[in-house]
Amino acid sequence: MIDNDPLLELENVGVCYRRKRGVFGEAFWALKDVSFKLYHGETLGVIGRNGVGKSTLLRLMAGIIKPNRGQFTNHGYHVSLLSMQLGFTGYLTGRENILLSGMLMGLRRHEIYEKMDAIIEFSELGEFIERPIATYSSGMVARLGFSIALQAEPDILLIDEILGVGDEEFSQKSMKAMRERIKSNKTIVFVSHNAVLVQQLCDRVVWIEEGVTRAEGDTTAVLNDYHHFLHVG
Amino acid sequence: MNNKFLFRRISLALLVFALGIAVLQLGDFKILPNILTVELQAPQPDNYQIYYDFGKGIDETQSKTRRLETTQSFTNLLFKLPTVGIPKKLRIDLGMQPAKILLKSIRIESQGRLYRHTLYEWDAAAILRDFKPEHDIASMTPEGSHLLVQATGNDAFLSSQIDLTKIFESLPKNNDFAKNLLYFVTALCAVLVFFIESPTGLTVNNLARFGELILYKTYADLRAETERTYLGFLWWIFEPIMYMSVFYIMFGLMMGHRTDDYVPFLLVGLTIWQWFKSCLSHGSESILGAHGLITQIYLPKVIFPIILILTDTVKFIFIFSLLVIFLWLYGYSVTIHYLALPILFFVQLLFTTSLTFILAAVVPFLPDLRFVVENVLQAVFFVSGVFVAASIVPEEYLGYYYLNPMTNLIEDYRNVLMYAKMPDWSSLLVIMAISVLGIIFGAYLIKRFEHIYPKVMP
Repeated sequence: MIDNDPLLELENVGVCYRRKRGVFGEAFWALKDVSFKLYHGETLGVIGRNGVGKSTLLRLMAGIIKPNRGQFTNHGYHVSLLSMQLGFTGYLTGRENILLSGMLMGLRRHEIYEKMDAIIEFSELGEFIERPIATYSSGMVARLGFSIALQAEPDILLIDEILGVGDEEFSQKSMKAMRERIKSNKTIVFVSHNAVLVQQLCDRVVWIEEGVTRAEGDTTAVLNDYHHFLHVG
Repeated sequence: MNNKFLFRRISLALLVFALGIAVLQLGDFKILPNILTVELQAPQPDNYQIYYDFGKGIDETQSKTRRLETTQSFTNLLFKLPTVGIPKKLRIDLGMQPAKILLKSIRIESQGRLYRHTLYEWDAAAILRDFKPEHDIASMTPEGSHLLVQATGNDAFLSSQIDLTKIFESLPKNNDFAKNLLYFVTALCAVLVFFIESPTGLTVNNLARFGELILYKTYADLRAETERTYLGFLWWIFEPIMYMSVFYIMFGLMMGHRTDDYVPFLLVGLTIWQWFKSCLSHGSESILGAHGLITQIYLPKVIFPIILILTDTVKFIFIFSLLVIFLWLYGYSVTIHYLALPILFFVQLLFTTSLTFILAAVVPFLPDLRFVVENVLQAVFFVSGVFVAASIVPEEYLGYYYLNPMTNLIEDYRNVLMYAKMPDWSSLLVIMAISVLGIIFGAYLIKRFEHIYPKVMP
């Protein structure tokens, strides 16, 4: 399943932000020294506690930001973050928001039209799809957001936690859809601090602590180290 | 791979260069003598007058008067040359009081909106050779680089003794300076294009995708705006009507400009300015405002100012249509000169885009700049000829006045819409060339900071 050529490579990557407004102010290193490789078809888990730079890492892999030091190489693949409600505009109808959000995610207009029915069906919005989303309940907006996000098909999908959205029933359904997506043969990076989910879904795991890669490799082994660290620390 | 890029860059650069040269070849760079300058110094302020003699003798209607105000230094007095016909003789009246006048030079000049060239010059020696004192002048003696003229009465004047038509015929006909400058700008553009490969981040491959996105986002923004009110897009019509009515009532009915063309004059200026201003003030905040989006997904940042410019342009189309209808109701009619309108729109769009790109690139780092921009725009508004015509600006300062591209554009729109005249092509070309350079520079800045914007605090 895993080819020898990596799709993405990170070598001693560091990313810094400025604490103050603009480009001035003291440097703050969100990532200090991160190295790993992503191979075709695998589901790579990234685990770590809150605030260890996981979001920054995802932004880096999605090409939104660039490293300040070290080397990040994308061998020509379309990487994107699974983002719910991307570009949602309250005054537009559900249908218009599907088009806009889909286009922002990198889908072409004709592709969205092909998927439109599937999206509307999955969202269970029915008649509401023709109304401005400002009139929706927050659960409905979440359902629509999830249904569109699920349709984005980049070469590499980056997922920041999976949380069920909407009411109990839709939450189950969305969790299931997401699991299926991760289990499929696609290349996926799954970021979480939920060790159980990572154990279930991932082929390999990278553990990041304080912006530094602590371990990379087999899921069970890395998770054991992680648990050990949590209990000792 | 590298060779392919090199090939693409070279061909793009050549294309830009070829296009520039082609435009320049088509462009009109005729240079016409239109100003007679007399450089002098006198001990007291006085009126100076030039008579143009077409071979029928001296005539008050063929004369121009200028007043000398300063006495401390040499001053250029600018007299308009006649627009039809070439004078055979000149008579220069040196004020109405006896005085010792220092005369430095007499020059035939061409003053365009963007330049003032000397085409022919009489220095002190040449004045002695070609001009003779005729009345109330005791002596004309060389003194250093100037002539000391002793005017003894209240009607001192000197006249040219040679046939001026020969001099006028020998003047250069083409504005080589402007043309060479534009060749240089074209070459610079080509070099820039070579070094900055795809300055926008939009490549041939993703152009279709982002083009689609730009158009749909523009549509969505406009839709969202109309959904915000009961009357929706009708406001794009009502608002300008109300706006125009206010000015019509204020200036047309209350301030007594009912018969002259001040109200249309003002409305043309305001409409054009409004398009420029709204693009600039909205567009400059566009990348900053897109912070939520650009932290979630990679997008070429240049699309944000483009979307804002398009949105404001759509609204402008409505306003402009109303303006044209108003002009027709006011009594102006459609002329062949309307054909120049698309070119004016295009040049203004280029100019607006160049400024918007540069501002949009910088504002995320310096959000305070937005307030500066607002106030600078307000200041520029008053010197852009929205309220006043260029004719009230003294000729000495016209060169500076026309340095402002908006002044040129507004005057061109008025020429086309109201006075049935074609725009000033050479200044349009200069604006276009500078704008293209500005767009490339702005797009380069945006591309350069593309991955830094998502890190900047909004």
